[in-house]
Amino acid sequence: MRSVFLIVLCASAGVAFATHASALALFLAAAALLAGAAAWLDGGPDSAKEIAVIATLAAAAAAGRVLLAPIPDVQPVTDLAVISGVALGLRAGIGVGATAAFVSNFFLGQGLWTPWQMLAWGGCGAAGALLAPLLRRRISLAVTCCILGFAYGFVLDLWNWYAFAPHTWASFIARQAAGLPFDIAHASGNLALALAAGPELRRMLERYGKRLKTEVVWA
Amino acid sequence: MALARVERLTFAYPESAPALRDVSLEVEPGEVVLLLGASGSGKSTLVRALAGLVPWFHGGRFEGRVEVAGRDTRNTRPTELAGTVATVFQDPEDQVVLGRVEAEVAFGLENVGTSPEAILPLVRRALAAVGIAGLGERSVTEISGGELQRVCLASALALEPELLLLDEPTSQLDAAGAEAFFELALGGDAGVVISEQRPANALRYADRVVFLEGGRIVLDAPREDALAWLAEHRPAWVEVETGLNAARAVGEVACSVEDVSFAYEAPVLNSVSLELRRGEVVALTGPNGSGKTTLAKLVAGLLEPKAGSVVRAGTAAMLLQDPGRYLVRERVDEEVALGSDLVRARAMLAAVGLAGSEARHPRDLSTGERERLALATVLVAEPYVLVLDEPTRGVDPERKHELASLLRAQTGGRATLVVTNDRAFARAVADREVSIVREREPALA
Amino acid sequence: MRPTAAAILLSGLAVTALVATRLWAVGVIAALLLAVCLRAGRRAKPYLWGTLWSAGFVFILWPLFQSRGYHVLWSGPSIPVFGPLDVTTEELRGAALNALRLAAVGLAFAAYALLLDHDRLLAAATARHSVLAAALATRLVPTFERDARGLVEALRGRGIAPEGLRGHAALLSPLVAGSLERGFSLAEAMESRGFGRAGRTRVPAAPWRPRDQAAVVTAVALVVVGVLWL
Repeated sequence: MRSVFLIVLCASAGVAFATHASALALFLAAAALLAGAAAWLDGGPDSAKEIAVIATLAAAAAAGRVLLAPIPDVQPVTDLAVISGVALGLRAGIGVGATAAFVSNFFLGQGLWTPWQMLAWGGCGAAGALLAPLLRRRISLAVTCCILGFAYGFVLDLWNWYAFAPHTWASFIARQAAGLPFDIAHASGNLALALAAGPELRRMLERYGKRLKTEVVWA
Repeated sequence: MALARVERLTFAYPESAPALRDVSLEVEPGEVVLLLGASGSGKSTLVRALAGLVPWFHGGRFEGRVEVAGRDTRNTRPTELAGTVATVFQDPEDQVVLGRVEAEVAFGLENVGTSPEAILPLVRRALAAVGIAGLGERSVTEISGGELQRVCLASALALEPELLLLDEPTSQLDAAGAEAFFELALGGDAGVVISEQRPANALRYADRVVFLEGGRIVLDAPREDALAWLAEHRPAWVEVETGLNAARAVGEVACSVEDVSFAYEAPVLNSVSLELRRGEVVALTGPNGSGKTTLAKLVAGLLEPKAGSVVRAGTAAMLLQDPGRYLVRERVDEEVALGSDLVRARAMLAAVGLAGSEARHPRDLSTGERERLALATVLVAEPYVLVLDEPTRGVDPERKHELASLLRAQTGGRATLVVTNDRAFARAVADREVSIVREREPALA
Repeated sequence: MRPTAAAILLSGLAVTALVATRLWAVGVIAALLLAVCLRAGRRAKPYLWGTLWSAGFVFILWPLFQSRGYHVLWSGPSIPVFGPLDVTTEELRGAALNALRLAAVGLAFAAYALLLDHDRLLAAATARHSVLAAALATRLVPTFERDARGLVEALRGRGIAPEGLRGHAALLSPLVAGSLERGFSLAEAMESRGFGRAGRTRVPAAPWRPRDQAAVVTAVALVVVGVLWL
């Protein structure tokens, strides 16, 4: 049932791309990617602990984002997603990033960008998991979070441009340039938070990570 | 045939000393068994063993046998036992999964595979049974803590379990709420095992009482015999009303509250006056919602009055409710040193009985140890005025006596205000008692 | 109306707006969605402002970065890389079309957030783990905010005031630690209630009423009409 849904989605995305209905095509592509990711995440072992941990961290990230909403683009989601990935693995990183995007948008009401934010922040979580051995020190973690801030902005501006702007180089550069101040705010926020609290968060998450996998010794 | 049987259970959580040692217990169908014991005595572990959560959820070293309704927990996961066994835990906030009351109660029924047509009628029946039939459509964030705990009870009762487990279910409720809760929970014919640190309410309903200490059972007897044994060997657990403390010399005024009014959205305090003197301990009592915590925060300076004045002769410190949640450092000694320095921190740790735990991570401590740590963090700065908000919530009777003695012994030049609902504790700790009533005029008692 | 049906209708409107090429059609859809959002009253303000800002941005930039059309309304200087700046009616039309499209989609999402029951919609979806995580996280946000206020107050009670970025950032770790403790208790409660067991059933959903069916049919019809004619 779910695979049928996915195939239909991908097919319509292809059609939309072919007919130059760019915004729609990208929406469908995003939806397909998210549906695929959800299916992959669901395929894992049924674990109340994992869901509870992902939900808890996503809630913390979402609450932080809502709190900092007056300062545009400064939020703890990127850092929390990355550190979740580092400490708890790929599924946790992607789960925290994507869920935080979805939930915080519910409170902030910016639904239009949600699928792309879910993909971008989920990607940050994945990056954290994949680069985990390199991100144990304060500086490397902070620099990575900073770079991911710019990458996030690039992805979102890219979609924005492809969907709603004329497809010329000029408008592409204009869109990226217009987004630059926000991207700088985002990246600086990530950097500052990771410098101030990065390794502490990672250590703390690793402590709880140990409790995720329990072992019983029978006697 | 026993409903549940525990045979020579010895269990240790990962990387810890055994929490239960050679424990054996039998629960008959329909019986109400009350487990008593201090924090860390193993009562919660025993309850979880009956649910299968120990060892499957927590991991650890498991020796012995636990059998519930004919199923051995060595071969049965807690998710399999669900439905036969249902548990209500301590904090409703940490049990509720979904946002709507009806959906929340239906969650368990869905998980165990109840046929779809039967689900909603069972949900409605359970909500009616606990007296909140009208709350079905409400959001869980809108209802009070007492109502939320009833939702959790409904979720458990809806499963029509053979064995109902209650792990300190009333610690977040006030006296009236606790009484109502037990009435509702024990009305059915399921076997019930209750774990409690405040036995007053539960003792009335228990058929049998089991007392645990250091992971071992030291008493397992029918209620009447148990009461006698407790009165003789563990008198703290059978609460006896003591007289007021002898009056002591007190010094000059440490804090003066004059004609203070405060409102959140609705007015809470209206023209209240209070005086605290150095060297005395004052208990602030009154029903829930009468403004005790608000007055306490005004005394401590955490809130500014809308009218009137609060004058303090020196620094103030306040210990809020559930302080174990708010520990911030990675080492116990650093936690206490936060308001002060390491030398005084170590001394204070010794005074509260935590010497030797300096290097441990605060979140590795047991609940009882965390409360002592929290107390140390407010005492270390040697404040002129110390305010404590419900320090005995969820604390066992022996520890309450310790706390009362500690607060009275350590007064020095300090004025202490203790907000509490616990009459016995108020009598044990205070020199005088001030009562707030809904008319918002304090009356000296 | 059932949330799933309403969500489908809103998506249908949004998709139609994205495929339609006639300006008036997109305009009508945007206006329709605006009216729906306004039903929510004051709460709609932040959502409307956000959409207005994004759509306005598109409208203003579009003509400047496209050089098309013959009916020049204004001609500006040529900038290196960007090319000549000018405004033609064709470009204005393109700008309006895309701005209205963005507005329509934004308003459709806003209508979803303002008027639909998030919980019921999540309950209806089938992907179990991800949906439950989202629903659970939504429920936990207010708890987290309360714990944050409690922590700041508890520290003030000890005479400690967090200062500056470092001070506040240092609170994040203990806050999250406390939340994780709650999370583990929650997981324990979930397992004791049988979560993860095979053979899970669902509360029977309310039957599809004619209204709901009509909504879905309308949505599909709109999209088809949009593709073919609009």
